[in-house]
Amino acid sequence: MAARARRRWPWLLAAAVLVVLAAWLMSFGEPEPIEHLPQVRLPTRMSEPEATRAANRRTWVAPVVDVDAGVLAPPPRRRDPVLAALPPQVHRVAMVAEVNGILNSELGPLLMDCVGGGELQGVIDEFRDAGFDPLTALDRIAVADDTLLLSGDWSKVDPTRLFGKALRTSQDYGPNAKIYELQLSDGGFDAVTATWKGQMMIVAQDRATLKATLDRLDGTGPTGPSPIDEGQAYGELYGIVQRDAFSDAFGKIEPRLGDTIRDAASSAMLHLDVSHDVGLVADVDSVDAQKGEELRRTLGAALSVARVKAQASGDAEGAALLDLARVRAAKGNRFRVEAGLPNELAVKGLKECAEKRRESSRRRAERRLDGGAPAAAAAP
Amino acid sequence: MSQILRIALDLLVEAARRKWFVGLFGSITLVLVTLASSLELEVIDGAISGSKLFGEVLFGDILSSHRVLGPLYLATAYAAFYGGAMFLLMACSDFAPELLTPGRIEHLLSLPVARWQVLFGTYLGVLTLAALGTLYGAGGLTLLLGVKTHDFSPVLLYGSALGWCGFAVVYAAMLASAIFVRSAPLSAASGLFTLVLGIVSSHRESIAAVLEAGPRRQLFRFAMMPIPRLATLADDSAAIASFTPVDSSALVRVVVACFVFSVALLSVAAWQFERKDF
Repeated sequence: MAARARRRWPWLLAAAVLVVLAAWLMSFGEPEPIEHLPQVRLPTRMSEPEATRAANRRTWVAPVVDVDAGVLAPPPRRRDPVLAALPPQVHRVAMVAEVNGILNSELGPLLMDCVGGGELQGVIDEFRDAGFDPLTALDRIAVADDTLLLSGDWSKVDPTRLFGKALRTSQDYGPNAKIYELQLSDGGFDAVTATWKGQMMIVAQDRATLKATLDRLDGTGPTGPSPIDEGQAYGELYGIVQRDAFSDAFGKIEPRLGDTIRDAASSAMLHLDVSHDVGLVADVDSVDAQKGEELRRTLGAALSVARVKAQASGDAEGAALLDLARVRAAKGNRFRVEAGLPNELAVKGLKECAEKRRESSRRRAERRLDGGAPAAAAAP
Repeated sequence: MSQILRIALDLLVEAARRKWFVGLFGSITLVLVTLASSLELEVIDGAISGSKLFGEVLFGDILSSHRVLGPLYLATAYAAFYGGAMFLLMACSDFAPELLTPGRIEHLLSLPVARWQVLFGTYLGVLTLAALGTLYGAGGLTLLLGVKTHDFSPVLLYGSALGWCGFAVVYAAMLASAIFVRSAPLSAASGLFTLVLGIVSSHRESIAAVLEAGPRRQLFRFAMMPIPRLATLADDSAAIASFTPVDSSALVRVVVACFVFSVALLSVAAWQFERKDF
């Protein structure tokens, strides 16, 4: 009986020890819920705040023209002046960046550090000295082929301080604009620029393009529908990329893809959201359904190959962005490409980018000091 | 050790005679064959450009194979964890009671085998059976989708292995219960109860927070301390299967705790087994 008792008790002792061990192993806190697929907000439609923003911007009314004695044309609808200023026909690109929205977004400061860092601060200071603070007064930047439009509060800007020695001539144009001719370096680059109603600065490569833009704004020149419909003004970057620009952009990375785009695409409407996550949506229009399908598949394959390459090179953010990429099924001649980067990865990538920029600035400064020292020593 | 393996092998032979296990492997085979013949996946350079099931278009988008397989593997891992545990606890519930049937147990005890070896051998046999089913199902699906997508990823096998760890706890409770009371329904009920306890244990902090502060909350916390977090294990299993990163150190602790707790239950069963007269 005693022998049996001796045989049994170690089992209970072992059980007790093991239960205590299991309790210790389980003593960590409740694990965080696992997020299986990162949810990225994609700019697929205009949100309510964006619709309100668009409505508030409809402040421009084309002057009413007296078409017949005593008979007035129906009053034209109010439009967004930036979109109304864009030429109806663009050959390469028409794109609007919501600069103020980007700067005030969660990613804005990091994006600034990544894009410009300390060097950008110098440019900002120059604008501030001339009476224009880009961080608060600049609203949007629009590009239409060779024309640049900067909307915001330009009413307090002093052109002589802003342009300095580059300013050659200035003259009034129409009731609301003033044109400035610039020579930015020793014959290196000429440009004409104008301010319109203190709301917009327009930069163009030639006087004719600039005047055409001002005429559209004053209602004295030919007008037409904007290349960017007001209903498409959502996201922080939006606009249309025509076939050639679209094909050139991809052709530099993958020549065969560039050729396919040139052959099959007609244009792409882009929307980029950087308010929290980074979400990109591109609606691609093709010349016909068959070529569109070919392009859709080529783009899908290119994204897949790029994802594998990013993974192989250790580019985690790039691989994550491409892993979430999706080429939607075609509807007629149009298909949609979507890509997104969750906020966490975007922040990480931008911090690394800013760090690299700071490092390269520091190295350049060191090189300048090293190169400048002997010259300074040799100077009398 | 060889005696434990012999008992385990004996159990596997017994299982092979049963129709339930023929049914288990048969149904896994049927699912795999059906998928193989009806699922069409179009692949371009590692991306899925479209899929059809029984000729019906599932989706026409082009997206990375991980994004297609992730949700499929996720659902499979959850189904394997909970569905597999439920199936096995019903199918295996009468193994231990039958082991103890008069005649069979006397025969076993007349052999040069220690009682604890009979117990651990039975446990090992059932876990081997569960592992074979898991390996066949998860491995078959991995192979099938790998051939169709050209993306051979072992994540579903890893995820399913965690499901098997969860079943190890459930069956230890079933075996221990059968040693105390020789009843197949009670054995199945204790397995189910352990599974539910494991789910409660996974959310112990949230549940404790809604209990009134005082001895009841303390008692709940104390009782839950050693119970393995089975729902956490299921979540981790599904996360791994769907290419989602998990906290590996916490996962290792849960897995080790599962086996430690299982051996604790088997130790109690061995204590009871040793004192029984047959």
